[in-house]
Amino acid sequence: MLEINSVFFSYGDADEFTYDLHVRTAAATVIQGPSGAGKSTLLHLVAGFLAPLRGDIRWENASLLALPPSERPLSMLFQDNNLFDHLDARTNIALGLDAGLKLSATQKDLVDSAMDQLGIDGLKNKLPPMLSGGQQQRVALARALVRARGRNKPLILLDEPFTALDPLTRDDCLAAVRLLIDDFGMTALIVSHDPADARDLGGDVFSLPGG
Amino acid sequence: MLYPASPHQKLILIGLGMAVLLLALGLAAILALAWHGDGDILTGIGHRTGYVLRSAVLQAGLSVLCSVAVAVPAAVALHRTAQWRWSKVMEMVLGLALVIPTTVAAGGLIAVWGRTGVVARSCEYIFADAGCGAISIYGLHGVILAHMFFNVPLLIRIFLPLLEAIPPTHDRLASLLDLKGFWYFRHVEWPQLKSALPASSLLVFLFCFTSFSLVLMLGGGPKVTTMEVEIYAAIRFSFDLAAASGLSLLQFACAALVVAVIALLNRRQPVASTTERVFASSTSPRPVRLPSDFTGSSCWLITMHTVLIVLIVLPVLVVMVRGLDPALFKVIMQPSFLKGLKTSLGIAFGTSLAVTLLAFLLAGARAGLVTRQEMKASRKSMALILLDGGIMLYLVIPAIVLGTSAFILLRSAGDIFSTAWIVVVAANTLLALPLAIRILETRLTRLFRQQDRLASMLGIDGAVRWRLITLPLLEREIGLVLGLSAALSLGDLGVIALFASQDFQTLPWMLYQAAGRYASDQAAALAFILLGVTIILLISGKYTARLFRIKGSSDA
Amino acid sequence: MLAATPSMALDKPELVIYTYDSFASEWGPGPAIKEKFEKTCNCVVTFVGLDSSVGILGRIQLEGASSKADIALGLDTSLTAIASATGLFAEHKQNIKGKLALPEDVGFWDDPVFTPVDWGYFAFVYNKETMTSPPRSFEELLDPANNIRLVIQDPRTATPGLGLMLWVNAVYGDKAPEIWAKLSPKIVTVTKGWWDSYSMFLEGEADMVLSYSTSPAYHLIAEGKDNFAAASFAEGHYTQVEVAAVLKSSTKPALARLFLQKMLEPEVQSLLPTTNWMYPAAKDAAVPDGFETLIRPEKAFLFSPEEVQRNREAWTEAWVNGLSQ
Repeated sequence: MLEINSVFFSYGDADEFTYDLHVRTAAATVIQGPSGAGKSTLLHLVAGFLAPLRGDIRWENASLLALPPSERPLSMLFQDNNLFDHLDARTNIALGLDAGLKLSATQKDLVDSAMDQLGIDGLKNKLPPMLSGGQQQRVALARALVRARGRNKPLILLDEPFTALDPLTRDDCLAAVRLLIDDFGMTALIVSHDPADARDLGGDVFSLPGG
Repeated sequence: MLYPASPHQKLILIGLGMAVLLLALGLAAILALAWHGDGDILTGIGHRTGYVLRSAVLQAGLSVLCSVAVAVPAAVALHRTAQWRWSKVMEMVLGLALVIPTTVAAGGLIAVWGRTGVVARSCEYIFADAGCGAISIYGLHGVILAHMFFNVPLLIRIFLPLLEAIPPTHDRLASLLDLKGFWYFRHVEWPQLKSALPASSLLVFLFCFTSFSLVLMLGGGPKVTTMEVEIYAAIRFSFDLAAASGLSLLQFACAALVVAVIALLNRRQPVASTTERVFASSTSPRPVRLPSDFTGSSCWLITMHTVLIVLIVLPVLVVMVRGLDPALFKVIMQPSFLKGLKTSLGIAFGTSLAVTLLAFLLAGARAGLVTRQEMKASRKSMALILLDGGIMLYLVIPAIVLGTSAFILLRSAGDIFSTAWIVVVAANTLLALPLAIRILETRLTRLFRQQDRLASMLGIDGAVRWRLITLPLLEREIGLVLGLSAALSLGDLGVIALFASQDFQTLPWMLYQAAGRYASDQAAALAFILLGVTIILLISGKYTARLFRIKGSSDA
Repeated sequence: MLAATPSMALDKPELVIYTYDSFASEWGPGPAIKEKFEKTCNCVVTFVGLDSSVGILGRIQLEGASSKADIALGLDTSLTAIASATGLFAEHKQNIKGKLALPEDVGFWDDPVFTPVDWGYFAFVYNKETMTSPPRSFEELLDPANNIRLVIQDPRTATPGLGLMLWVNAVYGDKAPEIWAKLSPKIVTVTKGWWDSYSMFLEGEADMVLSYSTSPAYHLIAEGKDNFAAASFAEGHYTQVEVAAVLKSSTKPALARLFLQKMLEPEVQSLLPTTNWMYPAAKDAAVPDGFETLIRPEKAFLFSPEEVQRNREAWTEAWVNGLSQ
């Protein structure tokens, strides 16, 4: 379980945000709210790109605050720039396991099976600019999957990842997220302003007050 | 800690340290003069100094305005016509214009715009003498024109990559909104360029503020002047080193003032929310092809190309044509020529290497600082000002001051002539650094913005990050920096003048010598050779940078 | 080239001479002088070519008392005052009375430190093909009715520029500021160095260029072109005398003085016109054919070094103000 306990953050002069919520394991939690409400900020806090002024963020009863992003048990999908455009799909996924790209045989299998599971195994050598939006997101999801299975990082944060996609592709991607949750026990924390996302994913909804 | 350490923390610290060192070194160089010479540091500052400063500021300010006014539409035009083969040629010529030695360029400009130049002769031919004699390039306008020759290519070099990074989403939006021609520029292209304007304008301003031979050659008289003339005269003709030191400090103070003003103006940037902060631009280095509906009327596109041709291509061509003289062979056959060529290339190679390394350090530190600032949504910090200050200093130290100080400092160390090589490389490195840093920094900042969070999350950092993710995407900039710094050092005459000897000569020095003994044909031939070697260096830079490509990466 | 070869230097004393690069280069008089002197001196002559005559003094000043140079060759009379003031130069102890062929108006050469090497007049050079009736005096030049276009150099950065300034002050004295104002509209531009303006003149950008009266000799003798000439002004011309001196810090003063003596001997002096394009300073030196076509002004001016030193700053300011109109 991911606990966000009385976390307080402020960007300096303006916006102040307070968060208090628990995220159930192996389920989806959708964060909703109007623009400027601090949805992305919350994800950044959990990921470790920002540090709370007060409060604590705990995963399975251990505080995450002292850990840098790469050591936290999570993967994150941003709105874009989720992939390195000059590296092919397979390499992008492999980076999730080892920054130096030296994969053991087991790890290589993990990558292949992740691509298979997400229906993108035909795209191994393709470069991201040649992929559609939906395909790119699924490559990113595959990377999150291999991290969950290979490096014990079961938490996935998604920052409005499907906003720019057309409805059909969006559905496919949401299905992929459900796959990760149901079949692989990942915990998803999703920021979205679209109420339909919450409805389609099931799971908890947490609304942030106005921006 | 409120904000976790930036992934570039180490780089920032090293870069800052370097900048402080450079700043100290630069100031030490200026002060060394005062210390060596006896005399009052303030003697150089007289009642004319105020006028000189005003003249320099006026000229530099106008030069910047005109350069930007031409460079922005020109960059847009080049970007929109990127698929024309001619545009590729144009880009190369622009790169060349940037590094032509000033005297060579001045000769070319006069050959185009002067009384007996191409323009005047064509005018006579067409209008048969009616008022064509009125065209005179000499005066403030001539200086501005000459400055544009160098600065428009520089600005275009900075603007083009920004335009090419316009995200596809913007284009889709534009076609939805039916934005054409000027409106496309206003809403899509201009915002991209706006961000780079302050720093680039500053760079151009400082170049023009400290311009020397161009100001004299085309200024028409002492009415148009800069502090450099005074400083040069103080060192050379009065041998009043203390006065020269005082004037240099004054020049630096003025430049610092300008930097401060621009920094203040920059503070008004609004703080974006997290979602907006993410630059939705692709990391792909491939230029985005514009659907032809955006380009607008071809009339103005052709106009801009013509402007560029007349302003920049023509003088370069003229220099090349004039150099195609039978004297060319005479020059090449001289044994001293090969020696001079070797020396020039050696210095170019050394400078290139040193500049690239240092520029990476400093540009990386700056990009790291800027992205950290953005993350914190805070305004400019002291660190950034310090970094910029250290770099900017070298734009305003006259080459002769650097050279003379180096000479003084080295003399105590031993025989000048054996260490001359190092000094010349060092001085040229310092003088080329600001430009190189600017080129790298624009792209690096973007890359950091786009990649930092992803890389942090994946745990990719340090050398691996550079090798795998950053350097491959900088191929173009690296090539540019390698080539430009080599070419710039090739054209230097200011530093070499103090250290040249029979055994230590460079091509520009040989040009100067040929000129001094009336051998104008040999001088022209050397100018031609200089241009040729410059072109080769620029191209080599581009190809050397390809070494950074990795398997599975996209074509630049 | 002219670098001393180490093996020789071990045995023989090395005479280091700072001069300007065109003097020292293979096209200048340097190599021949070196050869001639080494025949009799049992020494090695090393010329160090610096970027200009100003550069020579500058380098010596920077090096101070520990300079490697034994002799400075090619300083200009406008610089000799500053040079003396440095206290770095020694007396030449030469008896050159009556041996010199300097213009009469220049008078008796009584400088104890500097010996003349060669000389010339500053003059405006023009192209006979484009200018058929050149001005024959300053008055004619300054006449607002003609549209003569001039290119000159800055007195703060180039010796000829300085020469013109001294010239106008010599001719007009207190009226110099007016003269500058009258000259201003005729000036195309003021360049940093001599070559910048000379090349502009050659390109046709200006009708006349401030240069040396001997410039046409180069075109005549080396290029076979006889269409260049200098304008001879009735008021007279300013002289430029190039000098040499021994440095106090020299470890071989006797040898150095011997060299100075050699410099004034006919066999060396006759080298100078076609390599340095100046008149020889010594009386009995031969002047090559072609030089007779050069102008021989009736009056010559030369300020004493002290006068130059005293007035330079004020005169430069007047120049700047006058030309800024």
